[in-house]
Amino acid sequence: MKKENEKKGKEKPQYGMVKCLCYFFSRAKKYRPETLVLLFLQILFNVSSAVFGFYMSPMILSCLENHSTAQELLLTAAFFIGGCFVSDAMLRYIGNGAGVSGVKSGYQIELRAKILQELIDKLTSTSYCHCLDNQYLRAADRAIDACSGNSQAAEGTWNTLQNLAVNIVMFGFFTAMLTHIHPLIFAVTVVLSLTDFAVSGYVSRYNYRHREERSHIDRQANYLRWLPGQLSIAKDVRLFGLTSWINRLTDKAFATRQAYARREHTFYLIGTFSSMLIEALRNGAALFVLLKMCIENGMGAAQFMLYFSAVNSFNGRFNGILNSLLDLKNKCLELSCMLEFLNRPEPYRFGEGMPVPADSPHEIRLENVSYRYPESDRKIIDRLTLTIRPGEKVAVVGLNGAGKTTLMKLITGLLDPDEGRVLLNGTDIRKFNRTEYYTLFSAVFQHFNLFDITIAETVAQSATDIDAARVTDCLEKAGLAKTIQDLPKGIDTHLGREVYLDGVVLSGGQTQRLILARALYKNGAILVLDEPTAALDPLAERDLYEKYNAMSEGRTSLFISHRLASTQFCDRILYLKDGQIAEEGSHENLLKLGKEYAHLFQVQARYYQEDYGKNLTCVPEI
Amino acid sequence: MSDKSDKMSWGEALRFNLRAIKLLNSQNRLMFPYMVFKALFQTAFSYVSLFVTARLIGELAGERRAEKLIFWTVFQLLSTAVFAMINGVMRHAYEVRAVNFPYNIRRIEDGKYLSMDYSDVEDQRVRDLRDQTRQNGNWTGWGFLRIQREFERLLSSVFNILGAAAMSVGLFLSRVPEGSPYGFLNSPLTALGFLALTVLCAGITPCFNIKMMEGNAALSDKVRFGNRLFSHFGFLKQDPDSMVDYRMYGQNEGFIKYYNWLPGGNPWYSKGPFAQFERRIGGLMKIGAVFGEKLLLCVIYLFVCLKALGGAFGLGEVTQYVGAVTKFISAFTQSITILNNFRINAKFLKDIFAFLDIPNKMYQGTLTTEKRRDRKYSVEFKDVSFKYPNSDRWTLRHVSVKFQVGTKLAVVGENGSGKSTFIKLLCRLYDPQEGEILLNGVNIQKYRYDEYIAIFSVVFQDFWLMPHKLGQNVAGSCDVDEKRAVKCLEDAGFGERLKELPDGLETWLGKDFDEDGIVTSGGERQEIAIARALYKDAPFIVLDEPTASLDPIAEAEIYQNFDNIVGDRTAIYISHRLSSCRFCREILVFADGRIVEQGTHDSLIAAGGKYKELWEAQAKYYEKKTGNQ
Repeated sequence: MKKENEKKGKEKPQYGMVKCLCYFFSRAKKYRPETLVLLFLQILFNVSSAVFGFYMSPMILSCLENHSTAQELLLTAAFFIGGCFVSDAMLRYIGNGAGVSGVKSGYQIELRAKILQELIDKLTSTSYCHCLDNQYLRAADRAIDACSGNSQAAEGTWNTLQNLAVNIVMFGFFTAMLTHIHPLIFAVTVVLSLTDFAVSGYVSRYNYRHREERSHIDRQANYLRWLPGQLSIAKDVRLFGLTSWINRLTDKAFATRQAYARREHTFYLIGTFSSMLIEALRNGAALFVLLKMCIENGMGAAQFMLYFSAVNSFNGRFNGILNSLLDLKNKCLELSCMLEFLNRPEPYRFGEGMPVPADSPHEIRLENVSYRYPESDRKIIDRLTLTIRPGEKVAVVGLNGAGKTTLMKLITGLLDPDEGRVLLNGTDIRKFNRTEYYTLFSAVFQHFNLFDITIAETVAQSATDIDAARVTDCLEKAGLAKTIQDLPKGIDTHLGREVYLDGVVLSGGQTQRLILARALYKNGAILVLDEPTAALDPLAERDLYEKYNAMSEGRTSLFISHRLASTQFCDRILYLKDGQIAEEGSHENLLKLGKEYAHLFQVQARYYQEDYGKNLTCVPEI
Repeated sequence: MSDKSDKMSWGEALRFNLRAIKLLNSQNRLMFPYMVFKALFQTAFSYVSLFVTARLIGELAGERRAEKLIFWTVFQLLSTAVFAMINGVMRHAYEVRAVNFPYNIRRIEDGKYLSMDYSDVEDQRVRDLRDQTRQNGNWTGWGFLRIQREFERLLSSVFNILGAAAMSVGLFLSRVPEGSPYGFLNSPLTALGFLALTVLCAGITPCFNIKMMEGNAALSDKVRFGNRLFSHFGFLKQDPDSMVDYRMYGQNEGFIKYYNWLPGGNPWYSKGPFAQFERRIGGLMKIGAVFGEKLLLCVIYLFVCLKALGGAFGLGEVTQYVGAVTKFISAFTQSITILNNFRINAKFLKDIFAFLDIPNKMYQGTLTTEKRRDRKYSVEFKDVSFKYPNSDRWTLRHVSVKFQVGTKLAVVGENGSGKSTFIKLLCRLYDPQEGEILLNGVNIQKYRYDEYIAIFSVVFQDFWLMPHKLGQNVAGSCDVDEKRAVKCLEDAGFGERLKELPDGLETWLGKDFDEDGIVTSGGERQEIAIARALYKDAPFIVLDEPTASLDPIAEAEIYQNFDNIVGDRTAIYISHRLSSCRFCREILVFADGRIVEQGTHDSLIAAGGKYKELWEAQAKYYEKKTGNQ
């Protein structure tokens, strides 16, 4: 895999280990300081459990070997077993290891959720231009990923730290013991352990080295196992008999995955065999030295057992330290992603920006505005100048890809132009507090994001501050009141089934109306409607047109539609082409002008005109 | 949904578990056998090692013969090496199978959706049942996946019990020499007393563990709710469109934060029921379980050491017996916990099987359709009425209509008037409750479904294309008739774009699985979907709202291409854009589940009914002399 090697270049985290851990501890201290105390207790009881456990058996054996009295024997056993009991019981109560168990989990999970909330705060407020930046989105993905499970950094770091600390303490303990027995054993064990670590480390990074191949295979297999459960495919699967196709692709994907696993695990066998060799060598050396001591110095059997298990434990702890360090490095890599994401500077102004003029009429002006999407080589908006007077009703039309939606995003302040300026009452909108600027707009875009909350909460977009009368009123205006009234819980019905099992699933047309009600409730000074009628039937469409005047009364409104009928309620129509306003004026004027708008209108209108069919030869040309 | 606090009988639990293992084994043939071998050798190794260590210590505590010491040392080293190799190979064999296990499971479970009656696929109760089982699997670990883990643990326990029993027999057989103050240990009564005490102590731990598991399982509804909440509001979508909503509507401050910290919401947090359980009852039970373990250890040491003090055996045997008896007890108690887990799991398995056992009621027909070259199939709705399962409202009522072969038929009506349902019945995605649908005079339920559906090509509004190769998508199969696929793509209007593609039919749709995949616009996807319908070459073609999101020019292209696309087929065209009625000979107007009007455009306009109302609602904006409103 040549490609992979080129791409491999080591990833350098922007933040070092110390900074990452400082961040982690500072969050812990701020949100759930209990986690710190619990970590200390975990370390303490882990160490005590290990020490008692280590001595228990050899000490009892040594009582037997020295022919102690039954009483002495009992006392010894009771002491060590009792010590083990206290340590283990405390550990089990507090919780040990990475999974969900014990008292610690509640605090650690809550802390993870708090950290996640910080990420959500950033994600939902960061300058919108970041949302189009794939690099930023990847950082966001990784930061959020680090909060996604018990073993990811936002929670798993606790376990890593605990392991590291316990291993270090116990390593010190066994080092003292081994050097005391025989420096040679110490030296041999260290050398062999390091070799083992290096070899098995190399072996276990097989996945890392083949991560691109692996993730490609996984993605396909994951997609194919996810697919059958999707409602959206059920009709096509039946009508086109796609089951056998899907099954064959799935078989293939699973077989590929298994073939990869076979290669991976065959490679791991190298690690298994080298570890085996090293273990045999280490045990051989230890047994040789210890047996020699037994025979030459008269060391007892219990002592022999104590030392022999010390050699093994030493090796275990040494590997433990190295592994926990590796683990800590990975956790810090994840934490670094969080910091990168959180500390990304904001090109837009928020809290520090100017307040937006509240009650004055709002005039919006675009001066020579150009915009190009990142990773695109075409200016979607190209030196466009436009003034929207307060209270004006503007329609924006054009073919797919003409830049209509982008224009709306520039006006609403979601995007900032590359060149030129967008002005509100003569002030560059970049100077305002952007969050406040957004409150000016009641926007309905083509795509939207509905949460599984109640209908009232969806319309009000708030969980705590809901004016029920206004909600009903807006639903009425959007033509959805009847549907909602018929639901047993009315406006308090939950949407969707992902969270609340008794939620409702609305149809496409109903959802579009709900989104409209949401925009009306917001009552912004400027109404933005991007294709609000795509899923509506003719009567509902007419209904919306007829209510449009009432809805937009006293506001500025911007309306995008492919249905050119809608343009006739507007004071002015902008025909966009190639990022510029190609034609502009009232419907009649543009028809008289007889250029592209008129043509577009004709194309759509001719089917509705009485003389349709009499001149079918007239093929539209563009 | 069965109540999780009910206990299932052991017999029933066993049946569910055996059935599950059989099913899983049929999907992943070798995983379970290799699991047995792996557990066997792993256990065997630990006993060999215990035995050798005991001999070494025994020798050291006793005569210290050099040749014996050397023998056991070499034996120790060699056995370690041999077993490590065997274990490595076994693990390899097992892991290679186990890697697909979670995939096998999901495939068994969700694969059901591919074969079940469509009415069940859309039935919210069925989906809820499946979602419950999936959540149990994902978030509390119960279900099929659990079987792998518990089965592996059970095997290891069983082998441990056998191995440990074999190695601790000597403890009871060896006798304290006559005349020792510990002579009472030889009495069978003492041995019985020891056994009784052991059993008593050994019972403590599993008792506590089982109570704890049950306590956890009782919380599983709350746990599932918490997880649903957390995954919905904690892991937000990151597509640019959702990002717009977060900002324009201040959703984080508005409600996302609120739901993430819903009072009494997440059971995992430090004040939630799970944490409370861990702090109180659950925590105490854990301490109790540890207490049981250690108490047992005391009893074992006491008995073994006293016997050793009495001179029944030496230090080597002490090591061996303490090790073996400890292992025996822990394996024994563990196996009780495991068996109980199997029993708890059986309740979850029952739900999974309830889903998998949903019967296919619809597609039982056996007749084959007549293959007609002239495509003269006639389809007739005869007084058809239909309501969706779980609904009291008739979605279609007394619908009668006969399709004339070769006509172009437009279907119009308001949202919810029954248009889509009409198509679903025509394609037999549902069967009507009253009346019948006839193909060439025979009720369509009597035909084999694959034969029947072969005469229809449908492009639904929400059609689906797989992010896979273009050609395979058109063919709906791995085997593509290339000429035909190209022809269909051309007929559907995708020809120009196809010529630009260097990989042609091998081009991947989307960049998900191939870097060189192509990104397609809504209109192009529509064309590919139409090509797929054409490839099927059925005598009926149904187009459902194909132009909703297209601009006027793209819409006009579809309209103009319509004749081309349809050819001599019978066509049914559903649209909110009434302009489409102009090129259809026959129009069906739906309102409130009935066909209220039927006829040509001119006749319906003249009739002045529903159609006229719909038409004028749209047409008035396009009239020649559009004045001001």
